[in-house]
Amino acid sequence: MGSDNLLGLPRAPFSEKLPEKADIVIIGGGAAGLATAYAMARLGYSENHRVVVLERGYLGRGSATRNAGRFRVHFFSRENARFAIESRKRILEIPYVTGVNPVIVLGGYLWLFQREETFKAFAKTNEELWRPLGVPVNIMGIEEAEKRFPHIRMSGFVGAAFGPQDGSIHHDYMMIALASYAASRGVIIAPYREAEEIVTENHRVKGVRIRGHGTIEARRVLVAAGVWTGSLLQRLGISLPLKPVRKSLLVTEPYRYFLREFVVVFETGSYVAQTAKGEIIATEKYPPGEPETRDYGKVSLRWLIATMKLVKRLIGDKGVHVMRTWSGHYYVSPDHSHVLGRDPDWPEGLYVATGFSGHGLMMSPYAGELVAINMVEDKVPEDMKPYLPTRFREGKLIHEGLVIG
Amino acid sequence: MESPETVRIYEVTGLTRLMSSLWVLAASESLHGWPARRIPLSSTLLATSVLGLEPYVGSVSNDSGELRVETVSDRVVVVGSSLGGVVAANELRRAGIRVLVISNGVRDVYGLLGLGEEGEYLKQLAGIEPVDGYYVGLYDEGHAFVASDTLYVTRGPVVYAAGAEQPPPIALNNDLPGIVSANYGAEIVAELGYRPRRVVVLGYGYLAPRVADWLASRGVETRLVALKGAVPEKPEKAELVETRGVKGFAGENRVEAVVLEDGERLEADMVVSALGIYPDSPPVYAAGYPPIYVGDCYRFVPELPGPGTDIAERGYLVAAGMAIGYEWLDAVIASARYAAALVAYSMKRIGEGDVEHFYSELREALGKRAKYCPRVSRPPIWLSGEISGLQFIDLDEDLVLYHVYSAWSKGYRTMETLKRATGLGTGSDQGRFSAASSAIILSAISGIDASEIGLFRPRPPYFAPEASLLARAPTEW
Repeated sequence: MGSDNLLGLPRAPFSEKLPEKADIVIIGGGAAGLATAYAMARLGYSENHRVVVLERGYLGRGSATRNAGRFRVHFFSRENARFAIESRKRILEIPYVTGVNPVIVLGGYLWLFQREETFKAFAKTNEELWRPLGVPVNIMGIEEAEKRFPHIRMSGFVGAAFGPQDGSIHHDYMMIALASYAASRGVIIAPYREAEEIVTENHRVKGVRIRGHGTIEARRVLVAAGVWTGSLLQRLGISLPLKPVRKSLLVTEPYRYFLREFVVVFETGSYVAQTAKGEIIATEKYPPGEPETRDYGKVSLRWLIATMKLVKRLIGDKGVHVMRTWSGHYYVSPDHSHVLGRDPDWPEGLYVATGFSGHGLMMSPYAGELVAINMVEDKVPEDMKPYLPTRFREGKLIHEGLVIG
Repeated sequence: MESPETVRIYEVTGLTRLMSSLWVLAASESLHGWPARRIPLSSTLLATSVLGLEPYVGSVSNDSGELRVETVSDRVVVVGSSLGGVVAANELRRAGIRVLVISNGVRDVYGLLGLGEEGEYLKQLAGIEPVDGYYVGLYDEGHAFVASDTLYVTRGPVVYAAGAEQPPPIALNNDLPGIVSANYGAEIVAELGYRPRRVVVLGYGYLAPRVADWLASRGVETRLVALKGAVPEKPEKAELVETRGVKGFAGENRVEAVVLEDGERLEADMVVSALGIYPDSPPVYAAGYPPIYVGDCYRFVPELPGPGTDIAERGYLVAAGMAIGYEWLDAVIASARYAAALVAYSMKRIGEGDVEHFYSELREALGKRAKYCPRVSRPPIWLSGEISGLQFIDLDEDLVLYHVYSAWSKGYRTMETLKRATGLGTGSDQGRFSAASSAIILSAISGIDASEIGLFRPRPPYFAPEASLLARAPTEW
């Protein structure tokens, strides 16, 4: 950083002017899109390919900055666990590569179990999957858990598991880190530019029409537009089995930092945690089945009440003041696993990175890398193969049973 | 709906302005080339609140008994029972509409200088009996209000006349060392063992009395300075000093005193800003949210909604009388009447001509004011033309104007990107003051309209309820 950079803040990585032609257009300046742009820069692709990122709002406007900011390596499916381990490595590299500190805290995940059988199944997965992969969790009885985590109320739970490899990252700073690194290596990042339509000709991608700003030519386009991916594909007659599900979060005033762990009630997927700034965040799964919507803004009052009951149950409610609530989305696939790459039946040059089912922030760093390789080198990396969109019609699902929130 | 007697009674009541000294925003030239001499350690992450859970417990206790849920969609809810609320409720009743007035007894006196006995008289005349409670936001189920034993929910229209927040008493010399945020102040006392001799806590929100008491309980001589009648809970241990306003800070090289409006000096070697609670005034945030704002020339507010406005599209939330200014009674009254008229018209209780009438009445009232309405009206943080050092702009996050201006210079040119680049508005108050201040100042520097720079989206609840409060309510009703 130069001496004029008193704030240590990278110059805003935005381009006002767009070229008429690009080699690769990434639609979406969120976690998946920026991680792909970052990978394009890291792998040196942006040196001889003109890469453009189109974002319809500010960077990270969608679910990229509407989440709990957590990452974990513990998934029930082997594919996702391995994928997450790779992604975690790349998350931990971000400050060293970009010079931007995204405030990573390895605070761990603490799962609490209400039933013996789920507790036992989790312990079994630990031995069969996570330990062989080198990321075992620490399984403990409730007495030990009470001793180790005295600030959490354990009544009603039969056991606990602690995953020390897991942690949190500040989503805003992560977006700035990825974007500024990509921009510094020639990627053109254009916020407030909405991709309206992917233009094709003879079953081949030709470019992207930008609302009010003409068309940018490109032969390869990645759709990484979160819950808006579906409608862009729909215009090309492509449909993916993805559903936008609203998820809400409660945020309190900041308090003394006492809760490093991400505390999850296993059976319901509810959680309580604390941000590095001290705010307690929480969500309860209620009412059952959050609405399918692409709208932000409102939350359910019944959900808020249920979440306050959850806070009361896990950490006590004395003096805890709720400052705000907000909602984001999970873009949920049938197997709760992400969708990467392309279907050979699609127009030539069209790719996706989507359907992260609530794991976008944590899976993107690796997903972006695989997609970048896929798009530029025209080969499907081994780790990407299970995630292709063709798996839905081929019935080769990656059943992921460990979904939180 | 003609002018009721109640209004005339009020018009002759002498009102004083709360903040009589308005510092006009410095000319943009003085900000250009403004030297950044020091950059303080940003406390964004370091100054995690150390208040802890236990010492943070205020006097509010609602942990007994169940809350019952009452659906009041058959009524129009009026939030606030000060002048705007009383006038709006009165007009609605005259149109034959049932009204539920929600009033936090404290907030009654928030805006209009303490209505006192006159306020009681007004309420009697209007025939309204307010229920003590808080607006906690707009949800899927409708607008929600919490009273002592009831959770009111409505899908009907709401007239929000709870007043705009007072601007913070931050003025000259806020760059003096020793002026800190509540988080940072608490941290250096609790964690570093720093013992100031005398502390002044500024604020009249929910946080202020608790912060003052917490410091006092640590053996620090603490005074809480709040606008007269505006502090929601009196501190138990700290001394309360009520004032008509804070003029600025005095000191050589470090803060030595807080200077009140009437010239009184309160000696202090540390000043703690506890201005950060979540905003309860939607209008400032109207840019990102859909309440109808019936107000003045405030730059962030969209056009005055015309008589044909569909309030359903605006979440049935109609704001009245806010940011009008305390000295513009005719405008306060006209806006409350027009807000009521918009609601009454949506319920087909009055005709198109009536709405037009109230609309033109408000236009006229605002028109009278227009010539006094500068390009930038009522900046929430006033800067003097004599800026020589750092100027705190977000005391919740200990950010100075330089941080924000520097990020702006580096290309972060909307409020959402500024927020992410600097942490502006990410503290407890969520930019209640700092977002508007920054937008106004940057607007003055750049010539870009403040409304284009934008504000943040409001996120309910508007009032910070204790988790125990709503945990008492059922999830099934």
